[in-house]
Amino acid sequence: MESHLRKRCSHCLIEINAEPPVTDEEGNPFCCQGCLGVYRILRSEGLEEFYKRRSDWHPGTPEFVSVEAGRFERLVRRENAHSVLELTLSGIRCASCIWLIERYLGRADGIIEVRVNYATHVARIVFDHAKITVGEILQRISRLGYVPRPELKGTSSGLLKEEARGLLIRFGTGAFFSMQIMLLSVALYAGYFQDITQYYRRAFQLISWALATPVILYAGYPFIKGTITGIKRGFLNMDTLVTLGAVSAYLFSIVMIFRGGEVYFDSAAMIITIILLGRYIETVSKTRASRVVSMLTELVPESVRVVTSGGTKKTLIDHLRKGDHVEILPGERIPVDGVVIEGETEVEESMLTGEARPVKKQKGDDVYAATINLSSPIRVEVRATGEETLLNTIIRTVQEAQTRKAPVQKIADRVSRYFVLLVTMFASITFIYWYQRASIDVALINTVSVLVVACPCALGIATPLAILIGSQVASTRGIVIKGGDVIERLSRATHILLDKTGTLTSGRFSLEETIFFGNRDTALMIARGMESLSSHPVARTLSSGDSAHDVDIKEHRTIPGRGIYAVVNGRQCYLGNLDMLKETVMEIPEGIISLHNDMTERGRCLVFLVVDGKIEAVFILSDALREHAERLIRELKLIGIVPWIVSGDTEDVVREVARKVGVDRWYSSVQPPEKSKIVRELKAQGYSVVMVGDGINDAPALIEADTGISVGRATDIALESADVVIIRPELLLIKDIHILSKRVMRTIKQNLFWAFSYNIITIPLAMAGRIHPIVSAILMVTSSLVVVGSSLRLMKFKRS
Amino acid sequence: MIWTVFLLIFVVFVLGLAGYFIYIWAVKSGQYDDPEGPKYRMLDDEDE
Repeated sequence: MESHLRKRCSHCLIEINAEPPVTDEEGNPFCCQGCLGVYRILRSEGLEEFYKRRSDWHPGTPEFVSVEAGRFERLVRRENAHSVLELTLSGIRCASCIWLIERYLGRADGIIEVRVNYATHVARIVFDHAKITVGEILQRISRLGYVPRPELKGTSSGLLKEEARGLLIRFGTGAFFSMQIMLLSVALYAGYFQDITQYYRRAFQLISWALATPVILYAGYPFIKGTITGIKRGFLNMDTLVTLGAVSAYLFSIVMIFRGGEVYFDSAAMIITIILLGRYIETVSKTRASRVVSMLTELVPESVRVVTSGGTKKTLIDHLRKGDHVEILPGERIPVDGVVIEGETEVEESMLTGEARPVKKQKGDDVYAATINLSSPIRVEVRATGEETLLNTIIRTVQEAQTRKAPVQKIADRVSRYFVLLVTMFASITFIYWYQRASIDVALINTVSVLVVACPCALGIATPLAILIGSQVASTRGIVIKGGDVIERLSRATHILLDKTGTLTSGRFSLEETIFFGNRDTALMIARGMESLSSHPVARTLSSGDSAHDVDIKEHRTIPGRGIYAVVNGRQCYLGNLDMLKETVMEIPEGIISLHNDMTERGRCLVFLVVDGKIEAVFILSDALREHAERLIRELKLIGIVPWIVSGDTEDVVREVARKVGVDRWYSSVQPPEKSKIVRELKAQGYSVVMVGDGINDAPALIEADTGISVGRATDIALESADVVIIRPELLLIKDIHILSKRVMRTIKQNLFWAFSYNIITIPLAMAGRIHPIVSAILMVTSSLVVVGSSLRLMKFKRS
Repeated sequence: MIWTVFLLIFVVFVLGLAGYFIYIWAVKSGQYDDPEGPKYRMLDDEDE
C-alpha cells in the first residue's frame, strides 16, 4: 500500500530518504555510489538476470571495503599447476548472490574455477597466479559489495565441519557393519525357531563377532573416550550409558559364543550406529547456526586518508593519533570514533543502533568507527581509534560475557545420570539374587544381560531428532535457532526483556495526533495532496492510504532543511518544521513553541501546515509501534511470561510506549552494561530471562540472558550474540518460538519416556534371566520407531 | 552346500564393502559438505 510512494535503492532495496542521493542516467534511484557501481557492473557484464532471480534477498546495504591482499596471500595453496584460495564471504543475502559471485569472478582472466558453498559461504577459488593476483580477485569480490574474509583452519566453523565429517564416516562405518550383522542375526533368529545346527550357529556368531569389532572400537570410539574422561572427572552421562550397554553386550556375546548361548552383537552395533546418527544431526544443526558468526573487528578499515597541510595521504590506522584529521568518502566505513569538522552527510549506523534509517551528520556531530558514510565526503577529527572505540568496548563486553556463560547440561545427559545409577542398582540386585539362588555363573550372565538391555537405542535420537525437527519448523518461519540447549532454556522462560527502538517500535514515524486551527477537511486535503508528491519519511505517514484527487497542485518544490512548498488550489502552502514555521508566519500562536519543545522531548516530531501565511494545522508524529506489539505483550502475559521494557531512550518516550503496549515495568536511559546488569540481577533471583534486541547496545544483554533473541534487521554483533535470530520483522514470532520450544521439550520428554519404556519391559525380563536377543532387538527397533514418529508430529506445529 | 552359504556371505560382504568405499570417498571428497547447493545449481544454465 505504501510501497509505491517510497523509493527503494535499485540495487540493495533499502528505503531511501527524501530525494535519492544518487541516480543513474535513466533515473533509477540508489542509496549510494557503491550500489550504483554494482548496478553498472551487472549491466555491462550482462548479469542483470540477478535482479530477476533474487526473490529471497533481504534488503540491506552492501559493504564496500577495500581489503588488504596481504592477509590472503598467505592462505594461497598450490594444487597441481594452479593456486587455490579459500575464503569466507560475508554480505551474502540470497542464493542468487552465490550465482552472481561465481559468474562474475569466473569470467575474469586467469580464474579457473570458483565454487561457493551455499551452507557455509566459503568460496574456493582456483586460479592461475601468472594471470591474476590475489589483490585483483579480492577487488572483484568487494566491488560487488561482498567482503572477503580469511578462512582459517581452526576457526569454530572449520572445526565443526571436521567434526561433522568424522561423525559421518563413523556413522557410515557403523551402518555398513550393522547391516551385515543384521543379515546373520536374521539367520540366527530364524534358526532359533527352526533348530539351526550347532555348526552354522557357531560360524554365524563368529562372523558377527568379526563384524561387530570395528563398530565397537572404531565407530564407538567417541563414546568410549567420552566415558573414560567422564569417569576420570567423576560424572556419568549418555556416553557412559551407551558404552556400558554396547561394550558389555559385546563382551558378553564373546563369552556366549564359547559357552553356546545367544549373542547380542546386533544390539551392540545398532546402539552405536543409531546414537552416532543422533550426534551427527546435532553437529550439523550447530554448523548451520555458526555461519552467522562474523569477524566484527574487521569491520574497521586498516588504512585511512589523513588530512595534512599538503592534501591527503594514505596511512595505516595504527599510525593515527588523537586530534588527527581524516577524510572519509561516500561508501566508506568510518575508521575511528570522532567529531565531524567539515562536511554534511548521512551515515548508516545500523551496525551500532539497529536503526535502519540513515542518520544526518554535520559539523560537531559524533561519528563512530565501523559506521558507513553514505552521501558525501566528510572530515573527522579523531577522538579514539582501535581498542578505545565504542565498537571495541562493546565487543569486549560481549567476549567477556561469552566466556562467562556456562553451557547447560543437556536433558538426555541429566536423565542418563540417574538412569546409570538405577541400572547399576538393578544389576547389583540381580547379581546378589542369582548368586544366592544359583551359581556365580548364572549370576554373572544375568547381571550382564541387565546391563546389555539397559541401554536404550532410542535415547540417542530422542533429543537430537526432536530438536532438529523443531529447528527446521522454526526456520521455515524465518527463525534460526543456534543449538539444542537454546530450545531448552527458552522453554523455561519466565521474564522477557524487550528493547524499544527497532524491536517494539519500527523506527519509523506515524501520525499520532492532529491539531487544527481552521477547517479540518481542507487542511487534511492540502497536506495529503502536498505530501503525496514528496518521498520524505515524514511525508509518507500523512499521505498513506488516500491518494490526492480533486486537488490542483502547482509549483511543488522542496525547501532543504525546512519542508515543502506548493500552490494548492491557488493558495500558497508550506508544510514543514519549526524553522519553516518561524520563517513563514508572522504571529506564531501562543503555546506552539512550548508544545513543540514539550513534544520533541517526548520523542515526537511536529509538522506544521501553513496556508497563506496562517498556521492551519499541527501534525504530531511518533515513532510507530510495530504491528502486533500490543498483542504480543497481551499474549505473553496470558501464557504467564512477565514482559519488561529496557531501553536506552529517554524516560518520557519509554513510559509512553510502555503505556501503549501495556507493559507495567520499564527501564529508560539504560546504558549497554546496565542492560546486562538488569538481566544478571533477574537471573540471580532464579528467573529465566529472555532478552530481545537488535542493536550493538543490546549485545551484552543478549549474551547475559538465558536466551537472547534478535529481531528484524539486527546488527552483526546482535546476530552473533543472540541464541535465536528472527529474520522476519514479525513480533508475534517471539511468542511462537517460545511455544514451539515448549512443544519441542514436551516431545523430548515423551521421546525419553518411549525410549525408556523399552527398558521397563526388558530389564525385568533380564533380571529374571528370561531375555532372548530377539526380544531385545524387536523392542529396541519398536521404541526407536515410536520416537521417530512422535518427533515427526512436531512438523504439524501451526503458528498462532 | 556348506561352502555356498559362506561364499554367499562373503559375496554380500564384498558388495557391501564396495558401497562402503564409495561412501567414504563421497564424504572425504566433500560431497556432503554443501547439502544446500545442488537444489539451486540444478536450475542454473550452464551456458558459459
